Amino acid sequence: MILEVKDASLGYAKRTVLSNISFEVEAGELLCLLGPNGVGKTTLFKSILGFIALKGGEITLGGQNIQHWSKPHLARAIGYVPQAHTPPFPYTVLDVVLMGRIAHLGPFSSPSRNDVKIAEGSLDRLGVSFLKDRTYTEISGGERQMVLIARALTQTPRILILDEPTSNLDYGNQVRVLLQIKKLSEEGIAVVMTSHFPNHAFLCSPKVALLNRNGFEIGMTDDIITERNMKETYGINVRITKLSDNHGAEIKNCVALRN
Amino acid sequence: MKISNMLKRNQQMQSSNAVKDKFRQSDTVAVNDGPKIKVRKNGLVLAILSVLLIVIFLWSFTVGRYAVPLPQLLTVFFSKLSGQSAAWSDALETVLFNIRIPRIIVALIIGAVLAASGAAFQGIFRNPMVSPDILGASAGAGFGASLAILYSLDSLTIQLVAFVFGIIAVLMTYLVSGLISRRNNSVLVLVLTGMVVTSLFSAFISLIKFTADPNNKLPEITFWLMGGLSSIKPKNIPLILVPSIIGIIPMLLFRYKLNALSFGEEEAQSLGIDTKKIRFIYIICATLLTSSAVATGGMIGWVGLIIPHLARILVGPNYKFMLPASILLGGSYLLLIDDLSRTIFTLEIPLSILTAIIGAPFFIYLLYRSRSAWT
Amino acid sequence: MLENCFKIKFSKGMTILFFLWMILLLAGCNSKTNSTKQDTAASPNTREITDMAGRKVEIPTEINTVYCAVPTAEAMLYSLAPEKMAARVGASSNTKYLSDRVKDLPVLGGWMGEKCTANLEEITKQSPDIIIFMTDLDSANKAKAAETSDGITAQTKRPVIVLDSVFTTTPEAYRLMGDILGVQARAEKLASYSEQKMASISNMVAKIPDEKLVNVYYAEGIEWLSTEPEANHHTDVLRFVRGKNVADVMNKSGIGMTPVSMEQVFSWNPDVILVSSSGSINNFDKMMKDSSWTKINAVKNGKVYVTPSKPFGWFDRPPNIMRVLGAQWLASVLYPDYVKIDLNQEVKDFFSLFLNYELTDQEVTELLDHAVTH
Repeated sequence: MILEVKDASLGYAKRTVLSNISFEVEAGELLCLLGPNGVGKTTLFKSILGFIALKGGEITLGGQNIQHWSKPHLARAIGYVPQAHTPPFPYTVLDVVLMGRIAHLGPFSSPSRNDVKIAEGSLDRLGVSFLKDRTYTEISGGERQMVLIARALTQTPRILILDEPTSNLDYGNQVRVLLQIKKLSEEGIAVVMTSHFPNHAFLCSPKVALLNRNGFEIGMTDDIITERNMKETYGINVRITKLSDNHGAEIKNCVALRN
Repeated sequence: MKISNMLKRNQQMQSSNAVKDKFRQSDTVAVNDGPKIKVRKNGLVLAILSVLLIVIFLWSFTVGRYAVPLPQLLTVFFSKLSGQSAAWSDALETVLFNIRIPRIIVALIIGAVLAASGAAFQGIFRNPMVSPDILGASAGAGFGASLAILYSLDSLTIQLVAFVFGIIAVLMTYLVSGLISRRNNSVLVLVLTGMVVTSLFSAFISLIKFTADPNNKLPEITFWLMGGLSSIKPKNIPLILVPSIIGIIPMLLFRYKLNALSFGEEEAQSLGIDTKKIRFIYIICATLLTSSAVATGGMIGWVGLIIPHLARILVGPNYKFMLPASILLGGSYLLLIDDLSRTIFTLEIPLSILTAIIGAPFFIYLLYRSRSAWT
Repeated sequence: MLENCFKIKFSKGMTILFFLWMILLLAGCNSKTNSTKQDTAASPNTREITDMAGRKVEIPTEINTVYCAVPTAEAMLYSLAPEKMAARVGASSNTKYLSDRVKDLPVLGGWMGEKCTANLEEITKQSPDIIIFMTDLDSANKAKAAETSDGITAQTKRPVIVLDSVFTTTPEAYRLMGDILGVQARAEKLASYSEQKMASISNMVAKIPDEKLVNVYYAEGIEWLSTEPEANHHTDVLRFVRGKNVADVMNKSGIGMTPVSMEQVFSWNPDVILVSSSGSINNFDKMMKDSSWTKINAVKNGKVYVTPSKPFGWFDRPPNIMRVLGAQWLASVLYPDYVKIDLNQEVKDFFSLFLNYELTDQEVTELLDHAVTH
């Protein structure tokens, strides 16, 4: 299942934010969208999710144009993981995850026992089954993020889209969540993730799309995240370094310089 | 590598330094039967609420200014059921079947639908502080009734005019807010427009009160607005029953979808819900319910606000259980209040006064009980 | 920069003006003003009288224009000295029996219990010689009435006389007004007529044995479910003619209208129902066909009467001097065996003497429409 964005123009009624955007994400791929504030990352994935109408070009999933897909149809294909926030009512974690099944339910139905099994399976897959009966509004930010990922998984989508999944998380949780996302993509789901931090791309994503004032560039992480690109995009000086991890694999890091 | 393994290693490394935002494995392992038990428990609660409603319903027949001894009451009912001819006075028959029963039925319906509308709106507007009058149905209906009283129309016409104006008010809110926020289905604009429409109709009500003859029209209008079922007749029942049934059915059918709405517009859409359609359906239904309730019983507040909270405490926020619970609780509650209103003093106490006096402290108590949900 | 300063100053100024305006408006109908300073030196054109609330009021010796602050007093003024009436409180449609002059008088609003519709500027402009304020003066109400009238004086700078509207004080009120307005002869005529008729009725009903007293429900409001209990002054006439008020309910002072339920009416099961004619509760036919009301004794036996109301209410709303006639009407309707009067003649006599109107038989029938048994 390939997500293809073909020569898309994205924006709002009065303002075109991005144009000539083209890329693809395949099953098992993880694409990290990097870019500074306000450059259009949000606009891009809101367009993919159907919250904003495309101004030009097309977006296809498995070859089909998703422009006129119904909301349930879209939801069965694309799982959205927003940034965790506090809803007004104290649902349990399982309740929240079960809502992922809405796309598969009839208009009047509520989840069946089978749906519950799928939801529990998602929690299990992420290793957070112990949260199942807790109140969603009482658990920590990191735990909530995991719950939202579980919910998206419960939609049994072909592709996951995550909006800055690590904001509000501490360092440890950031790493854990990112590695979990990488694992999910290795299990066969296509993943698109936005981030502010180049190191996130280095940690888990082989493919990067860089958006900045000059345009849109997509390619392998090693090629895209260069000192020159970082200077152009973020306006700061960095040095890209290489380290070996405990298993001898190479891991790169982007280090900010003081001058 | 599973997270749990990583966690264990982490814990070994940082056993002394318990970081607050760390994933931790809780001691109690969630039992696989968890959700099943909850369903059973919620089902039980709903069953209890139904029984409670029936008990209060039956008990309401025994209270009233016209004394009806319990044995006689039972005789009347059994005779009616078995088709025997009346062995009791005409007056008793009229009091029971023309006065008390219609009043009890109407109180039940009004309580149930106000609670349901409140529950639905709290979900749609993602705000537990919302009540059914937020879009103007109540003020519109009040205006319609005041107008009808001013022109000395009879009670059935008053009910009808009030109902129509309740709908008109919400229509105004919906259309105007649609004009303002054309593309983004903003609930905020809906709420603000609703406030404006409510204020507008309240001002019109004040205008009517100002011009009304202070010797009889003004007290009548004031009394009607304060809410009461003292003049309910059998002929008033269709206009509350029919819209209520029409309105409550879609509300119950789609109630599971309402859960997702409380997470936000975009999130709900991403889960596969056509938020605009669902919102539209619920607003129409709630408007039908609220308009007919206010048109029949006057402006009764606090029911739509606190009953959903109570329901949430009993069965949780999942609308699958919470909406039926609200309906049952709302009906019982208003029925009890109406029983009070017609018995504790020699004069009829307007319902809105009682619901406020009882509701406000009760609400404070509910807030206190569920404070963990806010913080 | 200067522009912004100006804008801020401007909006501040507007805000202050706005608040001043609101304060002025609110001061309009407020009757909680300090007591007025009466002129202590009595000029030769004024004299001091004591009104029925015990207040000493300085009034002109010659009075040509009078304004009634409440509808209650209008009937009295009209009967006593119609040519001195300066304005009316409210526009009424019942003007058939009033003189042309009075029909065309300006309408200035008044102090109507719950709300004040008085057009203060107009009243001050018209500058009537005195203003009459009339309400029931039980000990509870006296102080408040005095306060209200002092307030009216403060706002209009005209002297205010307080009269008692309790039914039995009617002759006293007439005599006082006669003295004030300089129409003592006429006042005496009306006062003694009232006394005589009231005494006559009183004597006749005194003879009724207790067990023959009739249960009466006074039906006001929407669906006839508001009423006044025994203690309320709106039912002065009912009490006077010894009708038993069934309404065992809380008394609401002022406007009254205590709400009751149909069940209560059933448990009282009155023998007679008086339907208030004020406003337009003319759905008399509706009551006679209503599925619940037709089970009540009064309706079953056809003893439902609409209180006559032209040109002013005979029974109540407003409670005025026509109750002298109203008492005769009600007594003859409730106790025809004990109160033997020729009601039609009494009506004609009253209208002729008090309202200076000669009624035809047709008009009498109209006036008593739905008010008597046929």
